[in-house]
Amino acid sequence: MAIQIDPEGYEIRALFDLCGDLVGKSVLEIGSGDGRLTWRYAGKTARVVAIEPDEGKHARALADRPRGFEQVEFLNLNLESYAPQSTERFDLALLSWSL
Amino acid sequence: MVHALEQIHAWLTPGGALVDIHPNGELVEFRHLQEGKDLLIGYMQESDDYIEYRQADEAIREAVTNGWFGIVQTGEFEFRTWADSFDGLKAFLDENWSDAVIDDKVAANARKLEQETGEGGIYLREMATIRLLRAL
Repeated sequence: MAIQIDPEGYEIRALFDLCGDLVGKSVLEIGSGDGRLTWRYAGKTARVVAIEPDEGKHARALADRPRGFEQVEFLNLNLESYAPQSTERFDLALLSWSL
Repeated sequence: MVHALEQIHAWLTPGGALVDIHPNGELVEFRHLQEGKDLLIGYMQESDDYIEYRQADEAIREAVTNGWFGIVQTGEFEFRTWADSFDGLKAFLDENWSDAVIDDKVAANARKLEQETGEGGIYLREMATIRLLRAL
């Protein structure tokens, strides 16, 4: 089964149209799934914390990590679990299909 | 959902922003593109009738009303998921979209079309809303 999700790149284009290219920004992504969108926007960010409660998707995100994305941290957590441990502040929060 | 938005607001730097992406609630379409002809096969239903997307919109409205965020800009975009075959797409949905409901008639239409034209060119079309909100 070969599945291609948004090969046209409409989603990342819409995101960059709204926010610019996120150069130097810190981003909290909530519901990062398998990292599909993360890898498309994170290239020029300063830091990304990407939280995803589903273990399988989280594992795929880690397995698919491209080279040169050391600033991206994936956490296998939901919002409620992340809240008590976080004091970090972000320039941008991204709810990617997760609200 | 509203509590999550309040929590997110607390995690943002002064002047920080929130981007929310979620489906706009329009019916999701099965489509077939071949030789320039883009045909609607039928619609995908959700067992909860897409209610969570309306709830997400309502939560955003409430967060704005509460003074946590101001809406800067709203847009829409098309989001396509392509598969080699209808059955491949169905298997993907079974695994990843738990409340997806595919009507038997839609499945029959898709398979008939594939028999006539060969596999390939089938995709799922969603429309998504994307909003940029500024923390206040």
